[in-house]
Amino acid sequence: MSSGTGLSLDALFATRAKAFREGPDWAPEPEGTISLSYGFADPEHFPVAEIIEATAEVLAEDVNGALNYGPTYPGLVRLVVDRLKTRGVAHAAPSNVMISYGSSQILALLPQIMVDPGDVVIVEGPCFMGAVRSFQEAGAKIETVPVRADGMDIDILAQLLADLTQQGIRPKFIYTTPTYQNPTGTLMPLANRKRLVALAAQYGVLILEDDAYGDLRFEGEALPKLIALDTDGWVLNCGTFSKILAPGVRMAWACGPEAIIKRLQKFKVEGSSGPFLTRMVERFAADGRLDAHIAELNENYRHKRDVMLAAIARELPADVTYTVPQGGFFIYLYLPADMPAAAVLAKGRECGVTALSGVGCYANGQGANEMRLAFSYQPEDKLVEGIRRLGAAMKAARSQ
Amino acid sequence: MTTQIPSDNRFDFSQRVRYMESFAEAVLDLPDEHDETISLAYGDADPAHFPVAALIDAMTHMMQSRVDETLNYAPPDADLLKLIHARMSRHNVNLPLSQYITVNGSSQIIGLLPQVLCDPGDVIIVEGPTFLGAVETFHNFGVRIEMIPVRADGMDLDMLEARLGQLRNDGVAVKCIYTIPTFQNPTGTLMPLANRMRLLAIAATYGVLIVEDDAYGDLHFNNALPPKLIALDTHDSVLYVGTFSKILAPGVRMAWACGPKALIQRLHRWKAEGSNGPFMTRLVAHVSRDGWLDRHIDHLNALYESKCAVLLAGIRAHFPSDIRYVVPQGGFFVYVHLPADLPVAKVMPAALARNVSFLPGTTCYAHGEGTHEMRLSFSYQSAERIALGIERLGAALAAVRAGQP
Repeated sequence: MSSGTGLSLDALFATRAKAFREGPDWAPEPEGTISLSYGFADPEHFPVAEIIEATAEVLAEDVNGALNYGPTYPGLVRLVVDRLKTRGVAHAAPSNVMISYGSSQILALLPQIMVDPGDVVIVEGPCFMGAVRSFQEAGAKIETVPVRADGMDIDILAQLLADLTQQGIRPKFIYTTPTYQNPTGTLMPLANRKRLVALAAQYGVLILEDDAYGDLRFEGEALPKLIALDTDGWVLNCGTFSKILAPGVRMAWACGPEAIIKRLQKFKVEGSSGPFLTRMVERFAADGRLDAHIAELNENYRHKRDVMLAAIARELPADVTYTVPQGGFFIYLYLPADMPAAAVLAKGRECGVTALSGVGCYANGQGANEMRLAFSYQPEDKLVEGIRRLGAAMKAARSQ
Repeated sequence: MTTQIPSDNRFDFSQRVRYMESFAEAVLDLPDEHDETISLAYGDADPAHFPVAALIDAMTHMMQSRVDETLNYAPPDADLLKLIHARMSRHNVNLPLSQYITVNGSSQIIGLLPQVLCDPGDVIIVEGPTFLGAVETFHNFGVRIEMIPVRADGMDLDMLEARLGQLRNDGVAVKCIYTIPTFQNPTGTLMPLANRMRLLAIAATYGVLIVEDDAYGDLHFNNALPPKLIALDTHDSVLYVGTFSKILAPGVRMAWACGPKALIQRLHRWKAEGSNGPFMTRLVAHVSRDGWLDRHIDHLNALYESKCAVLLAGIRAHFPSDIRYVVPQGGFFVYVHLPADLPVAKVMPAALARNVSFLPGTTCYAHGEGTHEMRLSFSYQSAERIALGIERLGAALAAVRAGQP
């Protein structure tokens, strides 16, 4: 028998998988550094006892259902449907809702079912680049619409859609975070929401509504989700338990047109999202426990936002402007021309503070004089000290 | 049986979606069970032996020690990867941690294989019969499936070699050979060492990847198992898939793969949700710590061996003597070949009428073979119900043979 020539894996890969780009590394930050970079949850407010309790209850009541083979727990789907209905999504139903391992799963599966190389996807600038990277991996050509103080600039979007139509291009979807946007924290007003949904219907373009922060409202009136305004079936809404329970459980959902949900489910190759995990999350959330927990979180995050805003007003140069979010995890800074974020962050590392550069929030290389600060993770004293260090870094960068 | 996803012209789906939807979807012809049915159809774990107290204890402990790493965004699965790596090292698998991936059940790997390996028209070779979930998944992603018969000692390697030669002559790209060499699903067969060596040599000759599904590798009733394919591999040509489903609980959806670096990288990349989350990976790692998992596996093996013996005794007592089966040395299943006058199409209604069910062999093949084969599982039901179920099934076989179903 021939000993063979061995295996050329490159010859075996599907065309779509031949090219491979290494992802960004998870770089640990040096000891003593105060990180304002990431939108982590506040570890002081995880519902530890409730999760243990929910686990014990689920295992006591239906151990076979929780631990054997089985589907995503239908009770969790019902819970999500009920929550969406309460928030005005009248057409939410078990047939148009799916549970996923984190909303990143939806954000990566949607381009697989929608995008061929060269297809256009419209995103906000700045926005959550984790999502954009998965669109790009599917070969999407990204068009960026700027974000103003009231969210995505709908005039520019309307012009872009008209221009693309003129060129015979139908974009595959519009990715937006209308509520407490990542990274700007902005909130799209009702009139703009209505215009956006109408544009989607007019041009036949799907809207991917990333609603990760929708429940984290500190003040102001609750605005309807885009999907609640959608009468023609052009909105796919993505929600998550990451911000309101815990990111580590990796549990999220999507609601939208059945034709989309059905195909997303098929491309979710592992099938269910785990009988145990889906039961545990449902049990935790049932009987008003989730709403009580959200109220506690909003109290906490509002306070931390206020602490950070006060520190910014005190410590940062007066010509640094910033958003004042009514919810979510982030404050976004606009720096003067002589203070590029790269220089500030380099000084920041020397001073023991990190933040996310605006360049990391754009698909088109913009954002050199912008940065995102997360108030979600650090405790109050660290927020204050972190902003003090950032102020020092800005002064040092400017005097260079 | 097949069905078609309703087409939708509203959304402009990708070419992949349109390609896949040009095929009819597989729909498995599964037994129509009800509450009174003693189901011997499925390879579910024994619910009376789930480690509930150990899981609650592990969860309490891990939440008290490192809550931020358990519940926040976190570099995901280091604890679990180390545990898996140590267990694989015991079997002389010495790949670095970077060549491992944890996934949400081994079905996720099976589903990712067509994404990573297959263009339209490409072939995946499987055993016939094989795990029905794999057949269904490959089929639904538009993969061309070629089946190689399983003998008493596993996949028929003469036929494999001949088929690979034909396909090469036809210019067809064969991307991988999906095999369950140890206590195969559904046949329970064990591929001997000499065949394992030969399978590796054949794969190397033809430049084909082997996917070794080792779901039952820890479930053996004696200790003399041949080495895993990946431990024998010298060509970097095996992707190994292991799972906690049979040794801890299917419901935790935790499995792993290890193998060639370039392939593991792409599995990571195509696993849409990113790494498995810290909550579940730490829970599985935590419950397994300090030798607990080994003790639990010993307990399960004693349990499943005794239930297998009950099923075999029932077959000897109640089945006609002209059936054939391999006595398994591990795993979850006994696979029965029925004589010509006992097709499952007749046996199944007679069985369901007597409140017992099995998995028809036809669901374990891609193209309708297996009309006279049945898979019996001893994993899920209690010993008493297995005995009763086999007695009922024996009555069903006798009735069909007598022409009085």
